[in-house]
Amino acid sequence: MTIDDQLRRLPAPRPAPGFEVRVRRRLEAAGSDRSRLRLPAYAGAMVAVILALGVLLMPERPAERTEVGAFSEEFLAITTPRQTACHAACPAVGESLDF
Amino acid sequence: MADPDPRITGLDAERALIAAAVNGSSAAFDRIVRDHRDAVFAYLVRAGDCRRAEADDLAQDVFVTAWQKLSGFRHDAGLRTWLIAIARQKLRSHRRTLVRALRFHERLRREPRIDDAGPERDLALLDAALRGLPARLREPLYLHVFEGLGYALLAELLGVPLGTVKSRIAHARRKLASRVEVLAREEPRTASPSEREYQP
Repeated sequence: MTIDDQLRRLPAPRPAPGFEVRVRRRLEAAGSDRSRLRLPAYAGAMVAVILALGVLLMPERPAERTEVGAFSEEFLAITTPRQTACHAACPAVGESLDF
Repeated sequence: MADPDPRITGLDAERALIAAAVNGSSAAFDRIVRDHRDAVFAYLVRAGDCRRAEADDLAQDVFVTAWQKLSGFRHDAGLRTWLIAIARQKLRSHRRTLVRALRFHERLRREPRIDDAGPERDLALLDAALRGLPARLREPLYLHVFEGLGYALLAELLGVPLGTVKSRIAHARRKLASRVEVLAREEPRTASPSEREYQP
């Protein structure tokens, strides 16, 4: 008799009676309603679509204008002597700064 | 949906059961549980070296996961192979949890190793020898012998090359046979129940 044949003679272990009942209870505890289990994926897809539409339909933002008051005195003290450099580096700022 | 016709047999019956269960038939799912509970439980005990309470707990988890994912079952392999693949994942995850692993070893320390196989001495020795094999050898041998899984399917299930599956099964057979001989020689010295307890 081969070792495989000997192995097949081993009695098959079986779960204790009431296994189906225990599974059913666990399913109930886990929420056996598959529609609820699928909800996160469905909700995730909806959120992704809404975000994508939001990005696509969002109106173009106007060019940002920076008020002089937004800069500290220290910053202005540094940048004023270097007007050209400041204009080159910050073209958006240059429009509203009166040098 | 109506419950599956009990006169349908074989693969068609399995497909009908799965379809009914996916559509919410708890009777169909109960039938799936009844048809496969013993195989899943036996895999966990024999191949996974679980104690009975541990195997029962994990097997319940397997069927909960099966219920949740049944709609994704693609019929590439049989339903039983799919359930065993789930059981395998559960077992690995279970073993990774340190606290549970400590409890597991504590149970091993307390429970006798050989009694599970029944009164027949040679079967008890074989059972003990099987449990004594390393998991990488025990699992493919068990699935090949008890579940009849072929080498190719085993390679896919275990995630190892085909040659590795063949060599592991051959190695497992040799090791099992020699282990049975060793245990048979040692058995007279381990007659008392206390001596037959597992020594980690």
